[in-house]
Amino acid sequence: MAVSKMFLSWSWALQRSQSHPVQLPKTSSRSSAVAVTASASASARAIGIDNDVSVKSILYPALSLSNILHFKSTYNVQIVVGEDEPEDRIVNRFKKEVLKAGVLQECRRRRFFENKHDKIKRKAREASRRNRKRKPQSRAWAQNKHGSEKKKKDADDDDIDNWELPHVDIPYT
Amino acid sequence: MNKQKIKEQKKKKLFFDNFYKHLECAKNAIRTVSDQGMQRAKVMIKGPSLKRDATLRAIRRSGILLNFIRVVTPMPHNGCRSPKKRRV
Repeated sequence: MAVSKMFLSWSWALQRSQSHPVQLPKTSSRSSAVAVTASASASARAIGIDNDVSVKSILYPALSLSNILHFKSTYNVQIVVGEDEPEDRIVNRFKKEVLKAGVLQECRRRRFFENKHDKIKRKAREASRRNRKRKPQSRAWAQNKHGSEKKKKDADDDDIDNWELPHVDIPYT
Repeated sequence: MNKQKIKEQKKKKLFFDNFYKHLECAKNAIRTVSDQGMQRAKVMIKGPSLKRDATLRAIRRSGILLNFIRVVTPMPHNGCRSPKKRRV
């Protein structure tokens, strides 16, 4: 396994430095691994990399690549201001963005400890607000549905009023 | 009677200080920086409050152009337990 890993990294280094081909020595496994390491470092020096970090990155690329960081944004709200934008518009836009981001509520919440019950309540409230915000058109649809239901109910009542006389011949006149 | 008057004066003073504190700081900074020849600014605001209109207007009106306005309020996380909420 170690030999195969070494071979993979070696092949990567070989792709990186095609102008300096080095032949693999034909010996036993242990001395072969050692020789591979030595020749890799030799080729690194030949390429012109004198830094230990670079050598390590050539030998073990996965480790060096895994250190890449993905930063989150370091600010909560940002508005980019135009060249000749009026100050009223700047201030209003800024205020709106801050309120939308919810920075104030979060700061107020994190100031004091909240127990399990309070957390559950907060989550429920946030969920309801989110759902309300997510479906703005459902209100009109719900109202329409309600109206149609009312109409149907009225029709049924009209049908079952039982005001019609039975069709029977009456013996008296 | 005398105590009441003193209390009202204190309240007024506090209100005045809070209202104009930001603006005075901003004005001082703007004056110093304008003397040195700054033309553009990147504004970063810290703190859970919305009362920055006067400051922003002052910066804008002083002739300094703005690149962007950011809110970089720090959020506490993963520390010791916060104090419990006060029950009034």
